[in-house]
Amino acid sequence: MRGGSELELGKSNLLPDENELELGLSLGTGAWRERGRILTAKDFPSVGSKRTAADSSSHQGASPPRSSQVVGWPPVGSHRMNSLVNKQAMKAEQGEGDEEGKKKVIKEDEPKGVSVHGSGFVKVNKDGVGIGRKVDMRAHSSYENLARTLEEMFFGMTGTTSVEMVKPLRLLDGSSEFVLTYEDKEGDWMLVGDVPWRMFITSVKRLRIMGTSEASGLATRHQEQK
Amino acid sequence: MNYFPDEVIEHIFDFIASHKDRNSISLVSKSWHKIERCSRKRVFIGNCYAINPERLIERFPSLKSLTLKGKPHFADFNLVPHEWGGFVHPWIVALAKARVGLEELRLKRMVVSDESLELLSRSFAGFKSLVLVSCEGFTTDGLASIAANCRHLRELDLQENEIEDHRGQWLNCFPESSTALTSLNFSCLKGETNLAALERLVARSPNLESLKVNRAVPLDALTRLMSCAPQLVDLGVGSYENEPDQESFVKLMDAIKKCTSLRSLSGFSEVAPLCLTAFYPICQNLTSLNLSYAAEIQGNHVVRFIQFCKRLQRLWILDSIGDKGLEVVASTCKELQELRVFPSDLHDEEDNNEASVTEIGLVAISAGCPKLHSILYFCKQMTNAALITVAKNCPNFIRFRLCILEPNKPDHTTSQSLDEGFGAIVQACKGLRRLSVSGLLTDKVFLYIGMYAEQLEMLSIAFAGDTDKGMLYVLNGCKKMRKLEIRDSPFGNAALLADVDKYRTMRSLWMSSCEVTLGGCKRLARNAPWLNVEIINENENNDLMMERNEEDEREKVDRLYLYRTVVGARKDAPPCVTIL
Repeated sequence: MRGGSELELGKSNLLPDENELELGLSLGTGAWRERGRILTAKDFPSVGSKRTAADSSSHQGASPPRSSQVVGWPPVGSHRMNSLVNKQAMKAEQGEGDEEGKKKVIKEDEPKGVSVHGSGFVKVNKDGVGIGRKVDMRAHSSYENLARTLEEMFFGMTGTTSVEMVKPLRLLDGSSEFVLTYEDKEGDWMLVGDVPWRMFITSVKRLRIMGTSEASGLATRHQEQK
Repeated sequence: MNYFPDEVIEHIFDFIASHKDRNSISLVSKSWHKIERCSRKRVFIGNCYAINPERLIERFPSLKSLTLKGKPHFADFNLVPHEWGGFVHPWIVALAKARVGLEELRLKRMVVSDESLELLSRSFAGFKSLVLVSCEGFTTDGLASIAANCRHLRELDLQENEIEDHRGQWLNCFPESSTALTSLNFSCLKGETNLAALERLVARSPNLESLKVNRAVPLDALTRLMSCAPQLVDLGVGSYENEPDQESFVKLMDAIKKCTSLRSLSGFSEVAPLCLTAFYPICQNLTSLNLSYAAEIQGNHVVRFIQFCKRLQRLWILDSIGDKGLEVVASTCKELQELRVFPSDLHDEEDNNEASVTEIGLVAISAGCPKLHSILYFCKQMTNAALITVAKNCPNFIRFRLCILEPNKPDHTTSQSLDEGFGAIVQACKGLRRLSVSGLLTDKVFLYIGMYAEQLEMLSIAFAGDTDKGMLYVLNGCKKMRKLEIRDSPFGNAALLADVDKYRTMRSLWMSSCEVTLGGCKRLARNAPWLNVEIINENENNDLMMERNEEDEREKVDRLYLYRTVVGARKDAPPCVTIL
């Protein structure tokens, strides 16, 4: 397995009639090309093409990898990165009505997870999609931010080769058929969005985009824990 | 054959300070080699695994100052696992055992433990200076040992380290008799500071020239510190996001006015606009300004401040200054030599047009600042025309690092690659020693680099090139290449193996997410026993690796790091590192 890359093989082989899934630069042809590959230089627009990131919204499929989704890019030192991310996290907390955040600018008990060194990446899997991705928790400052990144990552990935669903995922408002859940430090699966953002990023281990039908049981369990 | 007694030659050698020159001297003759090595006081080791401490001490018994570097550069961007290596402890143990009269230790990207610091503090009676840059593995307890035991400590400089802050009383550990401090930098500490201890320390250190505090030092404390240290030349302040009240502001400004020797200002992990204005009195003296951590302050306040800093030679800022702000810098800072513009928004909001710089700002700077020789520039877009203009305006670049945030982005006006732009840079800047390229680039840019970049020592490549030819142009052309680091580019075994002896002349090569395979790396290791060829795999995927045939020679190597060494494979490699 290539460490540091964003994609991993899931257990299921979803494209029996495509080329065999392999750990190479391309995992098939056609519609998968845009989404299924390990990100390398070949993924990006070639010479002469006018395609830019701004055009990607008109494409079916996930947006081209953004600066914040590539491991170790942009090449900003982790010390500086942590400092920026901490500030953005604190700002988001203030935005969410946390008065404490304002007074405790110089927090004594900064949770270790916030000042992350080392990989802030967690794996994300969507039900029915074999290829997982990784998302950098440090590069996000709020649930909205994270949801947007994930929605773009998995846009149109239904896990089937039939009708492409172009509907946006809308992970947070409960209106779509998917919800965002996470596995916390204790191994429990919870609905994303219930705890303050900073607490969330210190306890999240993995993310999963789950079908709402499956998630309803989860919500109950979560409420019971409260 | 010497015409002078050894002592005279030694005395002459004393005037030769640069490592390169001293290394050259030692090659002249056996006798010169001996005189040189016995009198050598300062040694620089760019890769701690290229040699071991025992051999170092054997060759340089009079060693007083040692500089060591550990992890490869891309460790700064989390591309190297934490447990990779770069431990300073064996070095300190060996130096202590040999009773070397160590006075200065400078470490970069190394793993330092409290135990190491404790041993260091107890082993060298004359120890004067500790500089740690981007290190990790220690806590404030280690700092306490240094403070307590190094009686002659003059310099404690901690830059961008990961230090576990136990919020103990390490500042209290400086004995009352300690009055020799010239430089104290603890800006990277995250916790509360014992302000009383700090103020007492500063008050009894009349030679203190450089003081950089951490964000936890509030405005009133800063005011008091500056009042009792008006001799400061270099000041790093804390975090001041709230506007000061009238009284505090006046007191602060009065204290600042007295610091007539102040030349360098940094810190500001946050600063309210009014607070910044308190520093106006000393603006015209500043030669160095670092506002690159102040993410919240708006560009226009920063620009207004810089307008008074006519003597600036070094400026580090955020891209929130904008192109217009850079135009002001260009017209104000005629002495500018080094500029770094960092990104303020890492979320890649495509619709966020406010905080950004473009090719316009870069061209303005190149036109306005004739002495500019070093630049690090993060931007959202670039054009060939701009780079060609910059090259014409500034043929004196020594360091040119351009980072276009979106990988593979072409010239936004022509949609062409940026080969011609970078080509112009390397052709014009004959003294270029360090280069980082970005944006859409084909093999052609490397042809240019190989052809023209004769003095190039360090090259950073990301998401660039088409074929092995690209890397080959560089390896064949750049005779002075020392450090080559490549990521996410389609270079493979053919390029890696074409000229194995080339790596004798280089310090190291890094390749990640490229096309080199395990088989290729193994072949290289076989042909070059004087190289350590390291393959790095992320730990968490080891279980997946077990499922497949690990001996698959066609398996692409995720991260390759190779370096020349005279001491063979290191023994401290973690499980995720395989040395072939």
